[in-house]
Amino acid sequence: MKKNITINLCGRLFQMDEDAYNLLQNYLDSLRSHFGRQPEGEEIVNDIEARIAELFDELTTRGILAINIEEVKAIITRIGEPEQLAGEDEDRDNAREQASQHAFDDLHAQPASKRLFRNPNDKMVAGVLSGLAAYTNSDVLFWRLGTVLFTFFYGSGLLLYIIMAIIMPEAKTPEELLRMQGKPVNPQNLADAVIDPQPSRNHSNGLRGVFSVLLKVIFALFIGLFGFVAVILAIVFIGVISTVCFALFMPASGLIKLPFTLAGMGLTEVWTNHPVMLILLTLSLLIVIFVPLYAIVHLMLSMTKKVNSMSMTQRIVWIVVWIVALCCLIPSSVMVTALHNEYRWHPSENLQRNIKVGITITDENDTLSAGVERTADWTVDADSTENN
Amino acid sequence: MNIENAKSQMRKGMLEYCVLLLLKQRPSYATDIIQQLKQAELLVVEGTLYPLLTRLKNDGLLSYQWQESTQGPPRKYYALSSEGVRFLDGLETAWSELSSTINYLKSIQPEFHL
Repeated sequence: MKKNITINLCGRLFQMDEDAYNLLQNYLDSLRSHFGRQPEGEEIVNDIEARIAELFDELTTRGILAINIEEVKAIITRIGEPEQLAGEDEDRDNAREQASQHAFDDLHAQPASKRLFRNPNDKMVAGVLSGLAAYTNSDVLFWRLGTVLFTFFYGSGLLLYIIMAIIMPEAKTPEELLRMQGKPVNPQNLADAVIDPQPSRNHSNGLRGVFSVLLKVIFALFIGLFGFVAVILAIVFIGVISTVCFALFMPASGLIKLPFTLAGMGLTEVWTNHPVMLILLTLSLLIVIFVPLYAIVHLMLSMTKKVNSMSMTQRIVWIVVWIVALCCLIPSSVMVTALHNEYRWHPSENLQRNIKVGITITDENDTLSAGVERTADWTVDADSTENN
Repeated sequence: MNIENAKSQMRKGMLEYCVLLLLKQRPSYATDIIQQLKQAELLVVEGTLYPLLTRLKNDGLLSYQWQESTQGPPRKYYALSSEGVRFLDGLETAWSELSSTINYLKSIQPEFHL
């Protein structure tokens, strides 16, 4: 039993089997491309279509209601295949269309040119080796053995296979299947490809399962690597952000010694005297950390197709921003470090300033007045624990 | 196989002349032309004839008319135009020349060298 399609040919309706329709469609398309290069090509194909409609009419009056593929084949043989029609035109158009003659050769001189496709009909994992075998007219087994052998040399066989699987397209349409096998693309062969497609060999699911699991493992490892880097960056990022938050909510105070506060990092004086530098440092640090993190997450998401991958402009913008941030980060961090060291190791020059601002310094004996007097002799650190 | 090629080449050259001869007698449509040529023992497929007819029409040697038909879509009935008639006369001359050349070459007696 076959599926039935109603077609409209020159304004008349005909019923045909689905495979007959496919064959006819292919034939008309190849006629169109064959005659397309001539200015009167459209007219010629229309005439041929009218003739086919006439023949279909004869069939229906004879009592055949559904036109089957045998009839279509007979009609095609009768009207002539595009390759046969070549001869007529080549003699005539020598004066006019030298160039398009070569185009014509490309269209129909197929037997010599084979193209490399992945073979969907005989694949264990991705059909790469099967396609190679079809291209070289050899047995798949040799290719498979060879690949396994090469995999023992640092996994090169597997690596090559994966690369090929990505690069090589799969033969999907009947035309591609024919090209893969190197058969000429004419309506006859196309019809055969439609009617009896090559029996697809289903290799044992066990072996195939192993291979696909292997591939998935490798893929997961890649993702894992990215993810690991992303996690580290995220942690650093959170650290910096929390510092910023602390700095905003708890102004510099020598008392609070939590690790992320300004006091905790010994940056109190720097903040007081050179706030701009610290701000610059923080901002550029944030950007330098954040941009790669964002890029990695975006890349991973776009690989799973949840998000579109970035356009070229976006990428350039992010890269430029990151470079600028890096250029700010390095000098500002150098500056801040220098300042920090200055305040840490040479506080005496700054001590008077500190007292004026009102930082209370107490020592163990809690003799405030004595402490005030004695601070001049002591080295005072804002973050030193000795003072507690 | 080569003789078939040669024959086919010769036929291709003649086809135009044959078609114009037929159309001189009376206007007809493609399928009819094929039928008549078949009777004259020259086998042609639609795929070859249609392009030829269209080309001749575009060159101005033929004109056509649509005629309704009981068996199917309307048909194009081709007829010679006046330029076509002149062209055909030229072909007739060319054919006679060819014919006489061939006949002459065939009739050359081998010379005896004694």
